[in-house]
Amino acid sequence: MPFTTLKPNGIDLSQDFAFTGSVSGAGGGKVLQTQSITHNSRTTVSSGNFSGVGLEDTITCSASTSKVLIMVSGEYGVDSNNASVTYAGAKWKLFRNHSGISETEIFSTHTQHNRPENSGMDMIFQDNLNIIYLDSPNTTNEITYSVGAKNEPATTGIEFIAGGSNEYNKTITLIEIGA
Amino acid sequence: MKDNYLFRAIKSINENAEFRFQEQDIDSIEWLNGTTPIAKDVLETKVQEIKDSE
Repeated sequence: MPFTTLKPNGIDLSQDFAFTGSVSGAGGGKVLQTQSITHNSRTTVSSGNFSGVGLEDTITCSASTSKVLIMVSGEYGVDSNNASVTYAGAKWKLFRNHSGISETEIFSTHTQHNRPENSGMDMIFQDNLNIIYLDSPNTTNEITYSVGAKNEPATTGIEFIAGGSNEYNKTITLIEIGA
Repeated sequence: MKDNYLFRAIKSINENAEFRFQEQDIDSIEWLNGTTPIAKDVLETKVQEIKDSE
């Protein structure tokens, strides 16, 4: 009589299991490590070039085939500062700095508010910056991900975080995902 | 951002100034892209003027 392998049709998760073997066939996408930094300090920027807004974190991947999931979140404000402008905008970029060897822009986004006047009335808009990006850095060297901002027009300025420190947060999380 | 007196002070002196700073710390100001720095005492005076006018 041939043996028949009986397979369970469920697992009682209230029990304790001590695995001595390994799990195979689970496919890719395994989380290998996480890094995260959260601040509540306020950084003010007024710059025609992308300038750091005080949010960056570093990770060293365990394999060059790994991917890095980057998640950024933070509250910000843009102030027209009473200038005679019809819009105020914030441009954002996510940079990958490869051990100081090179800096690469890997993601960009933009928010802008338009107003039908240019009489110098103050215009402040506040919004949330949210970036989720899956990067393939292809290296096991240390890499730093940072957020940069640029305001438009030149007379405006960006606060990240707006409304003063200790009230809101800005955060960046890096997750290494195995191939 | 109305309580960002340092930002308002800088822009009231030079509306095209490019800079970055932390909190309201005058000593943390980085003048960017060739912007001519504004003296600390001038900024302190301007900040106080703005506060007094409110």
